[in-house]
Amino acid sequence: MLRSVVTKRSFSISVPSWAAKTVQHDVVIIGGGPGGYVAAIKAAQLGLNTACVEKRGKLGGTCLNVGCIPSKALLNNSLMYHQMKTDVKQRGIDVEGEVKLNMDQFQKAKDKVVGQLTGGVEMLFKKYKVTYYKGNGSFEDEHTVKVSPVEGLAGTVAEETLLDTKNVIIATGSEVTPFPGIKIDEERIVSSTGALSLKEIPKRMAIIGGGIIGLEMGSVYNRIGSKVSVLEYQGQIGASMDGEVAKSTQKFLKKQGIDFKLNTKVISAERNGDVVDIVVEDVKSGKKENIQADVLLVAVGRRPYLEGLNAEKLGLDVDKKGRLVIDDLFNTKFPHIKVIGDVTFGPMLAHKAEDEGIAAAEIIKTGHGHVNYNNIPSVMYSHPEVAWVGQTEEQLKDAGISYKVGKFPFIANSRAKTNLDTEGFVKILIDAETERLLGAHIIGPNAGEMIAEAGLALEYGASAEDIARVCHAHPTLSEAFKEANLAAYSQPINF
Amino acid sequence: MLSYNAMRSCLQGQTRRSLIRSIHLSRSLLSAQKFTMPAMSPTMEKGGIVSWKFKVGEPFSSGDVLLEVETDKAQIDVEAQDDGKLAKILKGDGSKDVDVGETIAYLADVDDDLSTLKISAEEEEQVKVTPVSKVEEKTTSGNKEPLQNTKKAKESPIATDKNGVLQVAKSNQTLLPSVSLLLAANNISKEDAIRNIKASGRDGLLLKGDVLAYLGKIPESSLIKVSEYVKNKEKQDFSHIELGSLTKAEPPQSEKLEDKAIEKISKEPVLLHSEITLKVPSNVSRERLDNTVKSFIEEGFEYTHAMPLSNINSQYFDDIFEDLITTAPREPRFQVNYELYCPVEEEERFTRKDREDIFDLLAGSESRTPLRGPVVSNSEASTPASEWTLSLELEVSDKYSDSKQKAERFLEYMWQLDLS
Repeated sequence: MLRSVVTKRSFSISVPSWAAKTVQHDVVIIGGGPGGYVAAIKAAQLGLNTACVEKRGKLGGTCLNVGCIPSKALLNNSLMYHQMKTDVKQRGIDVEGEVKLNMDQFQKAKDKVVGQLTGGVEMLFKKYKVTYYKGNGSFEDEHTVKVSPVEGLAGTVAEETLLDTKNVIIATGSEVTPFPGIKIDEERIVSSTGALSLKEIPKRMAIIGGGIIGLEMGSVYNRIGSKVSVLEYQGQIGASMDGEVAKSTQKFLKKQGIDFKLNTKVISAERNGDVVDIVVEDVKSGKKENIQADVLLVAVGRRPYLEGLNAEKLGLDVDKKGRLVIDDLFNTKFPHIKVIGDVTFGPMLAHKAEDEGIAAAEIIKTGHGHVNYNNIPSVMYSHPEVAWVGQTEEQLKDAGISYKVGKFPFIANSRAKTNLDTEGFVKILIDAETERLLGAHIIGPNAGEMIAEAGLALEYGASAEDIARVCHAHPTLSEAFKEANLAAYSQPINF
Repeated sequence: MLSYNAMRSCLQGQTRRSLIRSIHLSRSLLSAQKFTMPAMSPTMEKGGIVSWKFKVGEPFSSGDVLLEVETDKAQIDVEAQDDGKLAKILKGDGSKDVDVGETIAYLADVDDDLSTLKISAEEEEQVKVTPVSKVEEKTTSGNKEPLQNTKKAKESPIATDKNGVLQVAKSNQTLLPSVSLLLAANNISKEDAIRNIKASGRDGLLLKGDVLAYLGKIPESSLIKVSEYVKNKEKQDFSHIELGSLTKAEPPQSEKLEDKAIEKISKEPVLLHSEITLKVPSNVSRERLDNTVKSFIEEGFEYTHAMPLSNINSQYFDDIFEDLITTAPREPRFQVNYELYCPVEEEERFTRKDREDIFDLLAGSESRTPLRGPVVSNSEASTPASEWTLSLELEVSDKYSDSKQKAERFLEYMWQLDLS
């Protein structure tokens, strides 16, 4: 109560009354990605007068527009195509005529999904009465967010609008990290954004970065006929994957036809007409090599996005990687300005941002929120999928925790066998003494769905026995998860 | 430290018994517990008993001074950690050279009947296993907790580990399958388990490891270690934040829509440089030179800020109007940084192998300030002029449109000094 009075006064001094119209809110969320829009809906559900500012023109952020969602559309449809071509015959399905990929329709199918989902979020805003401002949100002072019209954006705010707010949640997300010296034109040299909407299938595709984004896009184009090479500086692919899982992942992707060059440093890449010439160097031997590709995908990671926010006006702290500095209640140096998602610490994952968004809204309302950073699953949507949660073997070794491993291969799982889809395994890591579940790592069909069970177990400190004693339906892939837990503390039944 | 040790050794005695009781609930005979000579310091090996403050059978409550112990350094009170009474005193007042860890008395519960109390063989066995406190003290921090935490006092609050990963079990919880099976296998009721076993799970949830540690099947140190590890991982680590700057070197290359909204986050400050050569008689000290240069810079600074930029001789000039149209006329338009150096002098100094400060040497002779107009010095012939360089750097404010013009005007003013 007191605060709102004070705010009003400081506002009337700092901005002349004729400058712009002013609207009062309890919470203003800057950014309408998975972190921001979820925070907005939650805050509105908690009874706060909530506004969300987004300058992209569509809600859903990177994830819905140029990330998770469109890539999964391509992954799913490319897998279908690939299976139609190579797999269905042995299952007794003969396809008359040639199975062909219609690139145009392939992209349209993806765009349709994206359109539906982003529109869906807008509907949710209406339903929960979140005020949606299309425009650029920037700080005027610590209690005022200015929304400015964005040129060429349909439905953008008509004039500069000042939002006088008690709380702000910054959820501005991240952008593609450029590779020094390589110019992305989104035609031949593309970022993940451009790789999602190539007009034709490149004959040869080179990918800088063997992380999740690179490997997923590599999978898509490998399935629809490109010759894919992955160039990775490290000696291992898969970013933060468990070492053993990363090796197996590389093996199955290689079997599918993707070429890997590890310990390889990219020196330069240049577009020459319709080809890209890339010079790489072996990190160990220093040997240089020239590679030519039709499309080069630069997927070396993402970095926090703060453009246009005017954070420097408030003197908000950033760290060396450009992430806004927060405390364990997501607070910046101003307790009423919180930061969630990719623009601050932690893994750059949509579901992590969502959970932080909910926690931040709840903290504003009640003072308490919950995010368990030990329990944020990662999923790579290759085929088979790779999913993991909790600790890796390497992390446990480093921490000096004695652990036991339980493994169960899908080749011994009845459902996987029935589906003729038996690649992969479930790997369970438990504490050697207490048998508490510490990590779960799955390569296998639908691993991304199965990892949810591991998350639930991890959240409640379950031991391997607790999981194994839960009745799992037969025949399902989830039985493999149960068996791996049995293997961890006792012995598996079917292997 | 001392009271900590004393407390702990009492606690050990007390907790041990309650463990035994809870495991052997079916037994009707209660047993006394041993009370051993506490280690009052890490190096203490033996000690004496000055006096017992309670008689056998006399009840005491937690916090009461039970006895006074004497070491080679001091006499220390030992407090009771829990309510109870003395069942038997083995080492009476005045006992000397009692080994740390040696049984000095038996303790019983307040309402125990001393006549039926039995000091069981099993109990003796248990106590012998317990290492003396000093051994425990020497072990590394990772193993420090177990003895304190393994067993829980019956009524007193739980002896918690240092990070509080073990809590009181939540009263109305659904037991995990592993937990209820273990309890059943060991004849422990749910109620007893919740009352006696510390929980490492979320919100006081009992986990398999908690029961295993309670049953002594795994060391409690392992339970605490893994619980602490998991607990730490659940939070983000903010301890190694290296602050960076908000300015971004390169513009973003991606997502064209966002490009439109780019605002330049910070402007590079405009810097103007100028080097002015001064001919200074060599008998002028650096200090004097510096002072006069400084006052001249101040003068120039005032002058350029006060003087309007328009032509003051114009018939249209009106200084009140000029003042009105100038934004924040009294705000500084630039900042001046300057350096004075004299490379020639430096050289000479070395060639002459002069160990003293050259400027001190030069001081003392009277001469006119060299800073206005041509240098005129009486002793010009005898004291040759040396060349000094005044290096000026102006940081021009980006707040006012006339900043740069005024800064340039200032430099012009300063150039009056140049005599080369």
